Amino acid sequence: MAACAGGEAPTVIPDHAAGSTAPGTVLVRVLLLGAVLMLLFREYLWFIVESAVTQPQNAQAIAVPLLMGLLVWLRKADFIRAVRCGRSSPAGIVLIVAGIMAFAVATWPFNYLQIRLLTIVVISAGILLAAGGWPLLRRAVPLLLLLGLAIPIGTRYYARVIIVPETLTLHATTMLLDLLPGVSATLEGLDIFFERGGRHGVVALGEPSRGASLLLAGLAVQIFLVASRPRGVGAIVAFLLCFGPILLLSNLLRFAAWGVWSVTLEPDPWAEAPRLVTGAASIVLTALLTALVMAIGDALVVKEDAAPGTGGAGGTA
Amino acid sequence: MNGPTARTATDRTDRAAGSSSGRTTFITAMVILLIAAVVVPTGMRRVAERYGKRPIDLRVSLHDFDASSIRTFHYRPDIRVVGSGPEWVGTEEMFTLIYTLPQERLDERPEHYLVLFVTYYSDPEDTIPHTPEVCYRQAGGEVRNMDTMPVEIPGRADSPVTIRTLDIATGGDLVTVAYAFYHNGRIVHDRERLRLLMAMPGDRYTYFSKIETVIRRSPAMTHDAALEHCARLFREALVELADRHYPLDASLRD
Repeated sequence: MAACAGGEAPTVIPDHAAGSTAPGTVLVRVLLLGAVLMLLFREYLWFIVESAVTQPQNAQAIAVPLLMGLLVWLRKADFIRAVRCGRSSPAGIVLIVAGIMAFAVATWPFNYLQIRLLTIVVISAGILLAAGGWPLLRRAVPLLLLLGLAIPIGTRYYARVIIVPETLTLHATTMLLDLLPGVSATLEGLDIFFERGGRHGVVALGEPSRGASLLLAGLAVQIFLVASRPRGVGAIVAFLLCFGPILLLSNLLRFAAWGVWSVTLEPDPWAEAPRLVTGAASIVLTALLTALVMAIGDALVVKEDAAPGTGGAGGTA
Repeated sequence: MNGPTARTATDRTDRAAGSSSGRTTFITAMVILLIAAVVVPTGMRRVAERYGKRPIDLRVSLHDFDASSIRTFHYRPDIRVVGSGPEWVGTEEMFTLIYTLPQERLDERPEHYLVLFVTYYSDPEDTIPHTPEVCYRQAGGEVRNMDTMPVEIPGRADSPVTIRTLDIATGGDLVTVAYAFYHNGRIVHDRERLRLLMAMPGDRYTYFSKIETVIRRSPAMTHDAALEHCARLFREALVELADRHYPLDASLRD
C-alpha cells in the first residue's frame, strides 16, 4: 500500500487496493459516462469543431483529442496504478450534479455560453472521480487542462486577455522590421505599414489577433510535453513558469517572420501561405523550446536526485 | 484462522464492499447524466420560453429622434458617418447624428465634431453589442485611456450616473468616447454587469440601449474639455430619449 500513498513512482504495480475496481472496468465506466456526457452536450459539439476550424484562438481543439489519447498511452502504467490505488468516490456524483446545475443556470436565467461549455470539464472531473477515485482524478489533471483548452474562447474574452502581449508584439515587430536595411516600418493601430524601395504594404492585413495568435495551441503542446512523463511537483512548477516567456517569444518570432516574408517576398496581402507557415513554425518552435527547457531541467533534477543524502524530488505527477 | 488466511478474508470482504459501492456510484452517475442529457437542454429551453423576459417596443422609434432637442451643439445633417448602419449593429432601431461645437462655422469643415450614436435592443436573445474599447481596437484603433466619470442628469433619482470614457487614437485622429447602457430605466456602464442585470428576475419585459457620444478632437483641445462635451451631449440625449422614446418603467411589468 505504500506505493499508493504518493511519493516516488513504485517499480511494482500493486494488486488491487481494498475497494478498488479493475482497470478495465473503470475504463469501460469512464467511456460509458463520457458517451452520455457527449449526449448532454450534443448541441455544442459541432460548435466546438467549427470554432476550432475557423478561429485561430481555438485551433488547439483540433489537436486536443490526439494529445489526450497520446498522453493516456504514454502514462498508461501510471493510470493503471492510479486506478488500482483508488476507489470510486461519491464526491464524483456531487461534481457531476454541480456541473449539471451550473449548465442549467447558465442556460436560464443567465445566458452564458462560456460557462455552459466549461461545465464539460467539471462533469468530466466528476466522472473520473466517480469511476476511479481521487488518484485517477489527480493523474488526469493534465487531461482536464487540455479539455479545458479545447473549449472555444470567445473573441471578446480573447481580445481582453491578449491586449498587452499583442500590443508589445506589434511594437517589437515594427522595431525589428525597421531595422532591416532599406525598410521603413510604422505601426498605426494594429496595422504595421512598411515601405521598401518605393513599395508600400501592410503586414498580416485583416488577420484577427494578428499580434497574439495560437497562444493557446502552444500552451496545449506545452501541457502535453510536461505531462508526458512523471515529474516532481517542483519541476512542474518551474516548467510552468517558463511556459509564458516561451510562448511570447515564439509568438514574436512568428509575427516577425510573417513581417519579413511580407517585406521581402511581397506576397498577395490575402495569401494564406504566410499565415499557415509561420503559425505551424511557431507551434514547432514552442514545442522545441519547451522540450529543451525540460531536458535541461530534468538533467538538473536527476543530478540532484543522484547526489547522496538529498532525499529525492518529492511527489510525482 | 490467524495470519495470512484472516487477512485474505478481510481483503476479499473489503474488495467486495468497495466493488459494490463503486457499482452503486457508477449507476447513480449514469442515471443522473442520462436524465440530464434527456431533460436539461430541452427543459431549460422550455423554461426560458415560458418564464424568459419578453421584448418591448419603444414608445417612439429612434428614427423619429428630434435632433434639435440637443440644444448645446449644432446639428449637422450635411456630415455623414459611414460604417455605422443597421447591418453593422444588428438592430434597425438606431441613429447616428453629427453635431459641432457652437463656435464652429457652419460653412467650413469643422475642427471638432461630435457623434451621437444610439442603438436599441429588446429581443432577450440579443447579445449585447461590442463596446467601443473592443470595436475601435478591432478597427485598428489604439485605446490610450479608459476610465469612468459621473454625469449629473436632471430629474433622475440616481443622479449622478456613471458612464465609461475612453481616449482612442484611430486613423490619425484622436477621439474621446463616452458611453453607457440604459436598461429598464437604469444606467449601466459595464457590459458584464448589464448581462447580469438583464438575467435577474423581476421585470417581465426587457430592453437595453447604448448611448455613445464621440468627439473627434484636435491636440489643442484638452482631455477635460473633450470629456465635458461628451458628457453634455450624453446628458441632453438621455433626457430626450427617456422622456420620449424609451418604454415607461410601469410598462415593463405585466
